Parts: sequence; structure tokens; C-alpha cells
Amino acid sequence: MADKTSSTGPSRPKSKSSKKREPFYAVSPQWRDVTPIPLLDGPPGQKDPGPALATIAYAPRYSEAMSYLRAVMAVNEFSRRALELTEDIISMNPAHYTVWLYRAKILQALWAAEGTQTEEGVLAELEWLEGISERNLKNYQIWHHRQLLVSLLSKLPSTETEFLAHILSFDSKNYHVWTYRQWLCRRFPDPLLTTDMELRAVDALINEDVRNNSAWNHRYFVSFGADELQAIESQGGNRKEILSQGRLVVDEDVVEREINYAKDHIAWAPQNPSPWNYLKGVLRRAAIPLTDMQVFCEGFVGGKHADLMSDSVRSSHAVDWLAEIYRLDGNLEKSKSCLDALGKKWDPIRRKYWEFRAKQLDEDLGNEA
Amino acid sequence: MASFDDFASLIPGYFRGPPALLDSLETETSVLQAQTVNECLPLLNAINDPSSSPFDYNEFGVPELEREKHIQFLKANLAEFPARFVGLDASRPWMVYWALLSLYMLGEDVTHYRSRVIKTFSSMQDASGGFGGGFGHYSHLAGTYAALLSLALVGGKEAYSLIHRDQMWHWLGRLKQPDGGFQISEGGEEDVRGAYCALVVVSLLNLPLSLPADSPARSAGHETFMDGLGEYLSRCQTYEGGIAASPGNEAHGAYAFCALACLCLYSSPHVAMRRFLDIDALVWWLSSRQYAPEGGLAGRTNKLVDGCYSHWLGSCWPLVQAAISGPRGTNSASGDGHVVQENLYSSEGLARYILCCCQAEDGGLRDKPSKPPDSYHTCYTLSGISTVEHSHSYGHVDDSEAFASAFSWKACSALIPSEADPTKNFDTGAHVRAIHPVYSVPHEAARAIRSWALSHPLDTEVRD
Repeated sequence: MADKTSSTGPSRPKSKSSKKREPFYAVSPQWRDVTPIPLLDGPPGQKDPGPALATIAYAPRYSEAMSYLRAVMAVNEFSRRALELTEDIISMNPAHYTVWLYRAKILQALWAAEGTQTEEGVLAELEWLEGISERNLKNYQIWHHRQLLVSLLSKLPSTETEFLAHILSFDSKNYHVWTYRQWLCRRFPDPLLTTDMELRAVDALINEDVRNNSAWNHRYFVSFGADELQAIESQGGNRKEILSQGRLVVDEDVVEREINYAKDHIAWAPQNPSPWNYLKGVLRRAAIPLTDMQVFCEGFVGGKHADLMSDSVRSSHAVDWLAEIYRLDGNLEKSKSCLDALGKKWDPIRRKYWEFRAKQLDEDLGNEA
Repeated sequence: MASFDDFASLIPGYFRGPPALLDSLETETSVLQAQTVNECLPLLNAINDPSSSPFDYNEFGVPELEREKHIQFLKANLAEFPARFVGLDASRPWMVYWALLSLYMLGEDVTHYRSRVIKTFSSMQDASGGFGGGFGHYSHLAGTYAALLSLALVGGKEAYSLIHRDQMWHWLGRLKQPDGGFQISEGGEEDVRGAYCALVVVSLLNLPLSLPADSPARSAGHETFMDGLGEYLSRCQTYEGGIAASPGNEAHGAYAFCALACLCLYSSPHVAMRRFLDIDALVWWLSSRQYAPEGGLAGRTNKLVDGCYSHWLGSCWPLVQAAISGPRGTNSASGDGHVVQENLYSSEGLARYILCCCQAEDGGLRDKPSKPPDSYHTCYTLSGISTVEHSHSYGHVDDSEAFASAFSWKACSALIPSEADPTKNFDTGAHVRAIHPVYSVPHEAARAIRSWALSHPLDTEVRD
């Protein structure tokens, strides 16, 4: 781990070598009054059953820092030196959630004690966080820490979306980043959802990799999901119940725009599931029957009368949709032949599932009789 | 070399070459996907490699589970790690749980670890309730889940009574949120992991269902741990049909399991899932997570196969399939506890991926062939094999008694017709033990800690 320093204080260990080897806190005048609490493994005073399980042969520097952390946490010390201690431990183990949560508490206490404006404090911490985030992309803690900080602001920091774009350039499907981004949109709907900022950002990512499902999911969230959640929350909270009642309002212009967007992108690579899933979501939300897509889907299988086992089929998703469309139209034979083609040829590992769908058709028939 | 051809013929064609439909447009996703297929194909068809010995494979072309090597790997994972593994410091409860559960599934007796498990966890418990990742760490629901399940795995009243149940109840109350979900730690993130882990703790420890007076969820009118929970989980289902970490996020295999298992604790699976989820969409999404030729499962749409989803997604199947068929004794289930039900996914494909692609040469199992093994992937691929080898069903119970359904699950061996020749039964040859599909510990372990807790009720009077 590179030893990236920041502006939080003068007395931290500076070089990698001193960090690895020497006791730091025990010889620091700043920490003289603290009695460290060493690692405790097991209940004291009992017969030792053997070593604890899955232990780590900690580097002395880490052990020492942790023993001082326990000591300051035990008395809830919210001080500058405690803040520096958290930075030191984070530099050695950024996956240490406790240190992050403690750090967040210290920051707020310090701002209050030192008369720092929240906004000023948050922005300084965000700056510090930036370098660490790049090196720890798969870390829950960093993104939650960021969320805690940004939740304290009254408006969206101007560089936030730029920062997200930068981070996503390393891993465009990073779950924590997208989770944070969705939270951010609900926290600051103005400007994120009232302007086309997010939609443009997502469009860029989709154009870069049309198979980036995280970007498609965010597109749904921005176009429909955020509103949808608000409506569901205000109507008792059960999504299934409220969606099946079809009571949610939609903006028809947005629906039309998004249907066209999805169709255009399906044409880029018809075997890509992401825009198909997206399209299905939009249709469902707008209560548009799947049957409206018959001609569109038939375009990917070689037309209305195509042989579904022939090479004219370009998308298994189209065949899947047609199975459902024909079922809704009452053409159960044709529906079955789609499911059959999927199981035999286009998506055979899911044969059991296609057979299950075919069995449901039989039940439909049984119910009608 | 007729024997090679015989063997090979029992590997269905779709595990032997690239998929039938591939778009020509190249993007980062399709390049990575093609690389993954290329690293899996030779291993899936290793029996056809002239340099390999056919005696290393069974008649379906599947290599043996290297039981002894994996056991040695797991034992090493319970010992001391070098300093460079410091990043695991807050995950030690998990390290213990993964290794113990894996050893159990491989047929080992783990009860002799009892006193060392107690020693390990005794300093991780926080005085204000719950377990942290280590001594002096804040309590965390994931660490608490792993600690509790480890204690359940080794069993015994000395292990159970280590847990401060009263403080645990208060702590869980502080984690329950006004929107019905749970934070993972005080001031930490809220997602469906929290909800699942919390109900596992409440049910195994027989904690009062009523919320402590200082629970923030009381501000929204919630009175019990269950209030608002089903609705919260329903909002985590996405337009794709799968389930996300929290409302609005992308559908994801690991979170899907947490949400479904949580619903199976909420009430009987068929009742809870029908009430809160679009099951048709869910089944469609689950089914879409399996690709050929790999055979294994991928956590999200357009992501790569990864051995760990053999558990996260693989274990969704018994829950969802059971919810579809309903409790034993109804519909397709026969009275003798043997569920007459075919899987809705390719359990053969999953077993092939795990056994052919996930076993590391020197023991341990892995994400995919290009990744090193670890105890996390070892545990969750073995869980996948266990799921393949067993059928799970739950009983018909009165849901007014909390968690009655959760303790009615039974497992029996599964018969899997071979996909290439349905007159034969596909055999993984691995013979991994069954585990409880909701708690991910042995059935007896879950029952034993629950019975202990029932016979030691907490005094709830003062709290109501």
C-alpha cells in the first residue's frame, strides 16, 4: 500500500520504512498519556484450549496502532490525534470498518469543538478520501463514509459527478459506486434528476459498453425508479402490490423516448440482455402490453413465419419474448415452439426453465377448458 | 480410443463449445466474457485431452472432488495468516465460519474446534451487544452472523451461552430502521444483508420479536422486527426481476439470496414470496444467471461466472422452487418427505463448473480458473455442490408461530437425470453433506441452538 500523506497533521510517520519497523506511538510524546490495550484472544484466566482460529501475524506497527485505537475508543476520545490514528490504520487496512465509523464520529465532534463549518470540514475530508478511493475500489467502507459526509451537505458538491465518472473509468460496474450514486440522486434530486445530467452520464457509459448493465440499471433509476420508489413508499410500501395495480403515473414522453432508446441499442447487439431487460421494465412500468413488440421481436428471428431452428434467429431474447407474446395472444402452439427452440438450440442450459414455461402453458389450457 | 468417445458423449454439446449466438460487436464486457469461456472450455472437456487419464474422471466426464487436499487447505485457513493478510482483520469471524462449514460439508467433525471457537469469539463480543470483526471492533451484523453460525456449528451450551442475548436484542433494535430494513452496524450502511443476518440472529437465539423502546424504527410506528420488513424487501426487487442490495440498486445474486432467505424466515416461503415478490420475474432472472458453456452462475446481468454464486444464486433455487411447489404434502410433494420436483436450472451444469473449473491444484476452490483459491470460494462452491446433491422441502406449519416454517426444512438426496442421457442419473461423485437452505449450517446445528434458546427464554415482560 502506498503511503499517501495528506494535510491532516504534522506528526504522522512519513516513510514506508518507519511505518513497517519501528514502534511509533510508544515513543511519541503526543501519546505519552495513553495506556494501550493489547490484543486479547480468548477469555482471561482459563485453561488455554490452543490457539485462536484464523489469526493474523500482525506487523508490529499495526498491532501497536490497534492497541492505541482500542484505548482511545474505550473512552470515546474525539481528538485530532485520534483522527490521525484512524488515518494511520486506514493506510494499513482500509477494510477496517470500525476505524471508518469511528473516524466519522471524530470528524463531527472536532468540527463542533473547533468551530469548523460542516461544509468546509466535509470538503476537506472528501479531498483526503479521493486518493484512497482510487486504490480501494471494492471497499464498502469508503463509499459509506462518503455517503455519511455528503449527507451533511445542503447542496451537491460541484465536482461530485466528475469524480464518479473518474472512479467508474477504473471499473464501470462497481456495485458500491453505483449504490452510492443512486443514493446521491435521491439526496440531491435537484439537479441530478431535474436536469439531464445523469442521463447524459449514463448515455456515455452505455455508448462505451452497451453491455454495462449497471449503467442500464441507473438509466431506469433516473428515468423511472426514483419516482417509482417514492410513490411506492407513500402507498404502503409493497412494490409487488402497487405495480400490479398499475396505479403509478408515467410521463408518456419519457416512456416513448426510453422505448426508442432501448430498441436502438438492442439493434447494436441483439444478443445483449441488458437493453431487452430494460425495455421490458419500461413497458411494464407504463402498462404497455408486450404484444406491442411482436413485429420488433420478429425482426430478430427472421420474420413472422421464420423457422425458429434456422440461422435466421439472431437473438434468443427475441424468441423468449415471442413465446410470451404468442401466449398472451392465445397462440399456445406457437408459444410452445419458441420455448422448444430455446431449450433445444438457442439457450439449452436453461432447458428446464423453458420446459417449466411450457408446462405453465398447459396449465393455461387446462384453466380455459 | 473408444472409451474417450464414450465419456465425451455424456458431456452435452453446449458444455463443449461457445454459445450458439454471439454478437459481432466487441465491448469490454464481451471481451472479458470470451476470455472466461476460453479459460473454462479446456477444463470442462479435460477428459478429451489426450494427455489426461480417463481414470481421473467419472462416466460423465467430471473429475473427482479432491477432498483430502481441500481439507488440508481449510485447516491451513484456520491457522495463522502472515502479516500481509491484514486486510482480513475485520473478517476473521467469516474466516472461521467458511472453513468450519466447508469442513463439515466435506464430512469432517468440527465439534472438536468448540473450545477454540469459543476462545476466538469471546473477545470479539461487544459489551453493548453483537460481535465485531475482532477485539475492540464495533459490532457488525455480518460478523455477528458468522460468529453465531460458527458457535452453532460447534454447538454445546458453553458455546451458546457465550452470547449476551439481552444486549444482542437491544443492539438489533438500534439497527432496525424506520423504512423496515436494518443497518449493518450502528451508523453503517443499510441493505438486505442486514435484514437477513438480523432475522437469523433473532430466530436462532429466540429473541423477543418486539422492538426495544429505543429502536429508531418505533418512530415509524413499527413494533416488531418484522414490521415493514417484507415491504422493504419487496422494494429491493428490480425491473429485471432480481433483487438488489437496497431499493433502486442493480439486481445482484448475493443480495437476492439474503432477501429470499430473509423472506423464508419472515413466514412460510410460498406465503411471503407470493405476497412481496413478482415470482415469475424472479424465476426468469434467476434462470438467466446460468450461462453455457461455463455452467456456473454469474451474479448480475452481463457479469462473469464466479464460483461463489454457486451458493448465493444456487441456494436461491431450493427456496424459490419450494415456494412454487408449496409445503410438503401439497401439490407435487408426496407424503414421505421426498419432493417430486425437477430443478428449474441445470444442476448438472453447476456441478460441472465447480468440479472442473473451481478446484485448485493444491487444494481449495476458486472463483474461476485464473483466480487463486480462498476459504470464501471454497465454502460457497461446496455449498453449491451440496445444493445440487440434495432436494429441500419445508413443512406445512401455522405461520402465527414465528419461525415455525424455518425449522421445518428437510433435505434428501436428489436424483438428477443426466442431460445427455436422461435414462441415467448424473452423478457428481462428490457426496457433500446437506446444509439448511436458509441458515447455511447443518439442520441439527440450527435446531439445537434454537432448542437451547427456547429452553432459556429471555425475560420479556419489562419490555412490552
